[in-house]
Amino acid sequence: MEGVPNNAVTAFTTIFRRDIKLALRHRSELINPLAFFVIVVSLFPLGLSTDSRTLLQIAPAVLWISALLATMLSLESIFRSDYEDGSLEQLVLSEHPLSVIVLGKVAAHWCTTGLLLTLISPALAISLAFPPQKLGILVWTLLLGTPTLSLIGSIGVALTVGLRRGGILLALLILPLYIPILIFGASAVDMSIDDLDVAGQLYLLAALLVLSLTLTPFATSAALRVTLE
Amino acid sequence: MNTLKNTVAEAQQTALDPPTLRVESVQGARGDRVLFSSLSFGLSRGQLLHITGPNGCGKTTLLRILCGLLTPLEGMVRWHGHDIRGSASIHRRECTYIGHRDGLKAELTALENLQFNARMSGCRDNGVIDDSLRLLGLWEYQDLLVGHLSAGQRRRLALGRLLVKRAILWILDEPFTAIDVDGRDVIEAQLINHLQGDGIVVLTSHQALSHPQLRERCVTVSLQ
Amino acid sequence: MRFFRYFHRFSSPREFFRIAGSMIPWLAAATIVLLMIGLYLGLFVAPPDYQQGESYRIMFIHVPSAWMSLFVYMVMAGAAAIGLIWRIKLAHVMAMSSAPIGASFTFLALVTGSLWGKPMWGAWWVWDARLTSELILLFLYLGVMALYAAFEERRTAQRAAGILAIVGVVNVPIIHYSVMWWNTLHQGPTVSKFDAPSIHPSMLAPLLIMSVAFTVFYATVLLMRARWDVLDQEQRSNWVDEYLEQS
Repeated sequence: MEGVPNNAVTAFTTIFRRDIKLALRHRSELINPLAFFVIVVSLFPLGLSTDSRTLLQIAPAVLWISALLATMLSLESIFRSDYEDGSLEQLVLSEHPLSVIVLGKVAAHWCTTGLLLTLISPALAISLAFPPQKLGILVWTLLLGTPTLSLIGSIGVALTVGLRRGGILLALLILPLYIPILIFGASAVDMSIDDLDVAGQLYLLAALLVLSLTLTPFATSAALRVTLE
Repeated sequence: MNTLKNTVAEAQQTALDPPTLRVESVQGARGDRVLFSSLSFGLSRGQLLHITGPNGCGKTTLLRILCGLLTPLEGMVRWHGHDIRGSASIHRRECTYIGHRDGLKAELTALENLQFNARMSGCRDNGVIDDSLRLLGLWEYQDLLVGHLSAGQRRRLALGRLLVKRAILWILDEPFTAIDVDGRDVIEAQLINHLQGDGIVVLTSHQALSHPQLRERCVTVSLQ
Repeated sequence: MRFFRYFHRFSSPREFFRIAGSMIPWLAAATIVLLMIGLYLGLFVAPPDYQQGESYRIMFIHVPSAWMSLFVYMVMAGAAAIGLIWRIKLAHVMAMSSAPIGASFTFLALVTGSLWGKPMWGAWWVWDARLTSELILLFLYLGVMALYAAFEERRTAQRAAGILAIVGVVNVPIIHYSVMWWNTLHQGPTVSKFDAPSIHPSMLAPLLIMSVAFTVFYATVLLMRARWDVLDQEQRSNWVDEYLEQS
């Protein structure tokens, strides 16, 4: 038992693998955000028009807002079930830094939501008359933006997990904080259609990702300690 | 409250070591209602503290303060002489808390749950995990999903966390809930084992402890 | 050392209640005097603007409230941080009493901005960068207030909402600059009507006086709210019973 390295890295991988395993055993919860993403995107042609020029004009915003909402609706799964069955208090009392545990959980959440949303986004983009040669930029913005959405969202879930009905409140807390990511992500996709240079937005998205990667685990840990009292 | 201080003081005189766990004029509250205040006591290695009292008197609150989940409104808890808020990582490494919720994932098997708990506390020895499963009478059920186990079996599995982590301080909230007579004997035997190995146990339980060896090491605190 | 002792005394609920109670009438009087001077200078003394005529005078309300909306957010987050780090109850009370006041200033800035915008743009609402930032700031305030209201236990509510306020304060500059950038992207660089290229001293004086008046008003209302919050929080202490018997 002694002598085995028991550091933060093993804690991270242990928690990450457990959450991935749990997600795989809950297939429906894995598919729900994706189905939501597909349905919301397909509502726009139905509600607006099937004219390909109109669709192309709204495509960046539609794809980004739908991905953002799908992520938001899936956020509760980061901490909700752990809170309800008492695992969360065990994690908080674990000897490992809570921020590392949070990071492991958020990484697993992103792999089971944001990453999958990013992977199916090209198919949806094509359905909105999106030019195939520009799909790369769309995927890049989502790849850089959705982890930040999960990270910021984890603060909101940590703050509301102790409340019986936190759903709408969570949206109220989190959506204003999502605005910069939406602005940079959607505008990058939009400008890439017009063959403009979007490196600036991609750098900004990356900067926001690095910033939230360093700061949000601490905020989320502090929030968890408060709501578990 | 006075009676409680006296019993603890007496128990301390018989113990050789200075108290490892010290509670200093702690106040606990739920909402605006103060449950207990100026509560002080100390526990040395090899001692068991049994907290009794009616429902809603603050037993769980006190346990949550002792394990560091809850910060007392006043006073502090010392572990090896240090405030547990300041030296939280040592206290957390040396403390295991079993709350009234089991902290198990229903979608994982009994074995997977115990393995996860073992990995998180640095135990990679599968022999320890196997022994714990046998001891808890869960060997045949190790590949069942926890959602399919009975309440008593889940409780046993939750207590398995004690066996894989090997902490000094065990804090147990109603450990015997839903557990049958056999299981109770197994757990009491483990408690004796732990106390003999210089461990400390703090527990709440509505039933009195049955084993004589536990009773002789036991200090009772009654919260009113 | 003496300062800290004084501070410590002030931070005890009972002393705070007493001292704040004696400060409020003075602050309220100062608010009224400053508001009257500021409004007189702004509405009657300052000359009409050569471009905007009389309608620019709403600036004397709009600009101070926009400033206050940010200032109060900073105070709220700062007080929340003090409360969380040093576990000072009174700091939490200050932070949570600030939230509705700050939200009101933000709302006032939005309404006056839209009233000012009507003659300028011919529309009640235009997605101007500053107005949009102000709108998002209102959302941030509402989030803090909603979270505070959602918890039954006051201590948890104060600390949870405090964390959100601090997260918000980190995001305020990011949101502000992203909205500015978004605005130039979609509307092209236009000169915002809100920054007058050079402001005449006869306009600057009432603007500054109004800002001071708003700050003093904030202090007055903050102390009033915090005082009742302290009274509610300490309702089980003896001094509260004594106070209630006296009055």
